[in-house]
Amino acid sequence: MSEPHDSSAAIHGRPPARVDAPCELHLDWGGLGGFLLRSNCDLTASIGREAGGLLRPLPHAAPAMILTLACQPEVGVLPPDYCRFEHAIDPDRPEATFRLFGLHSEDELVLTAITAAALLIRCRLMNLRGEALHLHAAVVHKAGRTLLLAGESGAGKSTLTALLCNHGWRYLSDEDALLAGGIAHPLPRLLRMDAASADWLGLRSACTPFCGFFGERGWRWNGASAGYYADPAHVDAIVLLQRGDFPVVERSDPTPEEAAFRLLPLVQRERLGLAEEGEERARAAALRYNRQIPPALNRLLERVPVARLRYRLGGAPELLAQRFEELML
Amino acid sequence: MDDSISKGSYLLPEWVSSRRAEGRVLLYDADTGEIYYLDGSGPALWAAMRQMPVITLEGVVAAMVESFGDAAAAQIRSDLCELMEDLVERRLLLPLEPSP
Repeated sequence: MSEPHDSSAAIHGRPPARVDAPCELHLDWGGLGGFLLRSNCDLTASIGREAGGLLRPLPHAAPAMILTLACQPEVGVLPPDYCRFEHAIDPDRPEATFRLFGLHSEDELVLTAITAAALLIRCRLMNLRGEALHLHAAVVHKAGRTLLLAGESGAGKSTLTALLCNHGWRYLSDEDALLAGGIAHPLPRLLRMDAASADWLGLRSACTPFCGFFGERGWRWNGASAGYYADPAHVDAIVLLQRGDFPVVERSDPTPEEAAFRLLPLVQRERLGLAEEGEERARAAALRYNRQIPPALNRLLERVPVARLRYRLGGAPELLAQRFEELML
Repeated sequence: MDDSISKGSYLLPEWVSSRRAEGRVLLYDADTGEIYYLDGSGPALWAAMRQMPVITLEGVVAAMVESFGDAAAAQIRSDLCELMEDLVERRLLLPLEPSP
């Protein structure tokens, strides 16, 4: 195996370059129409590198959503790892503004852009369809079937997604599933995994390092981008990932009550109790989103079957990919 | 034991939903977005509370004693009082104000 490009500078990232005139990018992002991304930093190179061709430029389209990223000048002395953002999403208009403080790297800026896009798409889905679910799940597609791979951090979503995409599956997301009416909207970001997973899959030499929020380090692989599935897709099944020291890969079918029990904590929610006093309409929209989660999840579970997959990461990757397909396709 | 819990009447708020699996109950508070879990005796006590249009400590104890027998009454009352205090504090159980 060749050595990865593991320079300390690359791992720690570099700060984004400020620009005098706003940087504006018109993009097709999420299959819901054009996105206008504005920033006071130059996003062109970093978004292009991150998305690796996942984003389709829309130079003349009227934007369906407008996202503004504003890197704020630091006030006083900030701790070395300090980084936070505040956001304001207008619930009645498809617009959002994110203000970033203590930004250290382009990776943080791009991750913020993706987070902001996910929240804005979720808000737009709510306005278009009256319901939206933002689930902590990867999304993959093969042979006409789209699967959600749901699980807590460490369940192996990204690793399994990379494994499957290395075996002919198409990629929609490795982390966020934006759902409305049983349809998943893709979220264009590069697949990220830790060093151990990249090594196990033999993909580390094909990865580039990234430096995300709160010291998050890892490797991103643009191999999945080649099979990027850019359009919204009907979800055929939800796979609850349970990673452990299991001797065999095993599928079981949980009851709807068990499935809801496992999935509800994986739905991204608005933490209103922790929020500062915000604008009343935005708080009302957040509350509306929180309240429609249980019925929206119930409706999803009525139409989409759920399977539980117990597995162990290890051994030959191709055998796990083969067994996954036997059980899930 | 908190005297106000033993004398009060309570309702389960409409913004709290629950799911049960793996011997635990998940409570989802849509007003705050928070999730809580009940384990131990919590799931049985929660199930008994859900059966009641108006919840009182003695009402739940009576329902539980019917299932588990008199011998468990003291432990049930103690566990229930602790649970109800916790639920009230987190607004997962609403006190019914006495009519003026």
